[in-house]
Amino acid sequence: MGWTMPLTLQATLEAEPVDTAGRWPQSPAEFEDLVEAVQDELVHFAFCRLRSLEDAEDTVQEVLVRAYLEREKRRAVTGVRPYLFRMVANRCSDVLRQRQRAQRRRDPSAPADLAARIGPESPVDRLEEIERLLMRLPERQAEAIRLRVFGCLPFAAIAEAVGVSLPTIKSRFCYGVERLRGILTQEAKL
Amino acid sequence: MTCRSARRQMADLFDSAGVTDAGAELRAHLGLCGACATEFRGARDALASVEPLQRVRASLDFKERTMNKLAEQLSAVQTARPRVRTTPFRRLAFMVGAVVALVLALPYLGTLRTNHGAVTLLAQSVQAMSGIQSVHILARMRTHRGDNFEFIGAEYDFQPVEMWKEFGAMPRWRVENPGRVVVMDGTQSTLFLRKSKEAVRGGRNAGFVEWLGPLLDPEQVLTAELKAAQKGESRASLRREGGRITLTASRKAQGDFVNDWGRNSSVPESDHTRVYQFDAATNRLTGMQVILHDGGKDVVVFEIDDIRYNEPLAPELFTVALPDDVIRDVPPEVMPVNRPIPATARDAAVTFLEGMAHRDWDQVLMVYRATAIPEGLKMYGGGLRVISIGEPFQSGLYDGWYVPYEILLADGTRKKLNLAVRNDNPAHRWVQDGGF
Repeated sequence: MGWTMPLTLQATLEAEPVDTAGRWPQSPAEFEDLVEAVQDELVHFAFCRLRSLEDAEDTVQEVLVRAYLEREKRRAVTGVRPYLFRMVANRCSDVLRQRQRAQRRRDPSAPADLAARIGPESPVDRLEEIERLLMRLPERQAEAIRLRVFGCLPFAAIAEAVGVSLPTIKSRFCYGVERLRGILTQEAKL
Repeated sequence: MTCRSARRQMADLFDSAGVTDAGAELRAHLGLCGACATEFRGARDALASVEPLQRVRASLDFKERTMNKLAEQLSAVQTARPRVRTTPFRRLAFMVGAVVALVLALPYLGTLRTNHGAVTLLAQSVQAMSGIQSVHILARMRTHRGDNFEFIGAEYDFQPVEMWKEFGAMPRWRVENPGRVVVMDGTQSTLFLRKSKEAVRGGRNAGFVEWLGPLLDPEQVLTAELKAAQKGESRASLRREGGRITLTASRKAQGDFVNDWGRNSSVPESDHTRVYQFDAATNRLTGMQVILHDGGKDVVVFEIDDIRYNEPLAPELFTVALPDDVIRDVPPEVMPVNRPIPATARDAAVTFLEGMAHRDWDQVLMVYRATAIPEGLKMYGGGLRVISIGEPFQSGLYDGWYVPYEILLADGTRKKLNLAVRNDNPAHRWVQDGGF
């Protein structure tokens, strides 16, 4: 019996770019190279959280520009790519909180103002469903799963991004998956 | 492997870091143990339920918008930065004398022809500069994205430009913008165009950075401004405001213009004012602006955001890593001869444009100084249709010729431009030099 990764995950991983290791960009040209290297994966990651391409691009742009403006402070950072994922993840959380506050002020019963939906099976609906599931997990476990599935980061990079050890991140991931299975099983029974 | 350790290591099967020995052992265990295999399938299915349906990509202009945003932010940061600097008391006391000398000279500063104040400033500035080990300049320039360091245009957005120079027995420097980088490593210069992967090598003063070059030697800038004022090429004035001294020099466009082509396309070829700022306490250059005067409009086309003196510079700054598939410059004397050599500026334009039209890259290489045609150029111009090619003319300061042409690109875009060609090389070979 042969064991492989799930097809969908494997397809994503094959397209994974080379890790953007090395020093923090210290010149506009280095910054431009960095943007070129990470823009697609960061925008995809932010899109999965925010479910709006416009918001995702604004968020990533803001993070990247801040990354350059703070280049002196971050000169010693070596894992640039994981660090950027962490910055984007944090910024996405801020944006989602702002949205929730705005939503509560506007009309608590109105649906969120997200990207146009194409149909009941649209990618945005799917992301909404994914987020609903992940929101039921402890935040640290959900974070590990998001960085692995949305960001396609290897566990070593996720550990670096989150600032914990490799065994810890694997453990969070496994517990998260286990809990996710429980939720899915529970919902299937209803 | 036990079931317990298999479950503990199951995360490795969802990692993308490659299969480890432990991973191989785990897979073997899953092949033998039904319970663990069921566990794995369950985890895999759960993960599939949080897998997005599609991958999105950044918009095509995302990078450009981000670079523009960065330029805006750098400008805002600079504006917000306090300009007042603290100075040790004794040094301040010493410098007050120099400032007083300048203030006394101010009434005589209509022009700098016999201007003792300017001479004093120059002498003090040169003295101030002589102690410099390095300079790092952060600037921005209105130019077409990815273009050279010469081309400016009031209608373009600012693009960042950054310059470093290390002084010493063998000075080294680096200048770069988002599209290209020039490195002078002490003995030779290398120009590298990132997008097309083209590299050109030259001597210490190969002219790759055009008018920006002198900015890397701030004391030379002042000398040049003084000489220009003394020769009547510019009108200059000095003023002092608080701790800052400002030298303003206005110049008329240089060059002969048979028409407006080339006018206002570079700083020397435009009516402009250069505004230099010096710290009154140290006499060091602290900022510069170039203001273009185009008809009734005054537009800042170049601005130094920050000058950092004696910042430690990493040795890697003065090297440039070229990719394996770099396209190198070919000197005109060894360019291939696989077609008749163009005899005139117009012939050169015809050779280039018709080569592009027929995707005959060997023909293009008759006038294109490179080991190969960049893929981007092939994509852009391959299969074009030539509508017309006009008569060559000269304009501005450019030593070559401009050949008017009109083409229809393969994607249906119509272009009417002037191809720049020149033959002022030792082989007198006509080469394409821009304008496409």
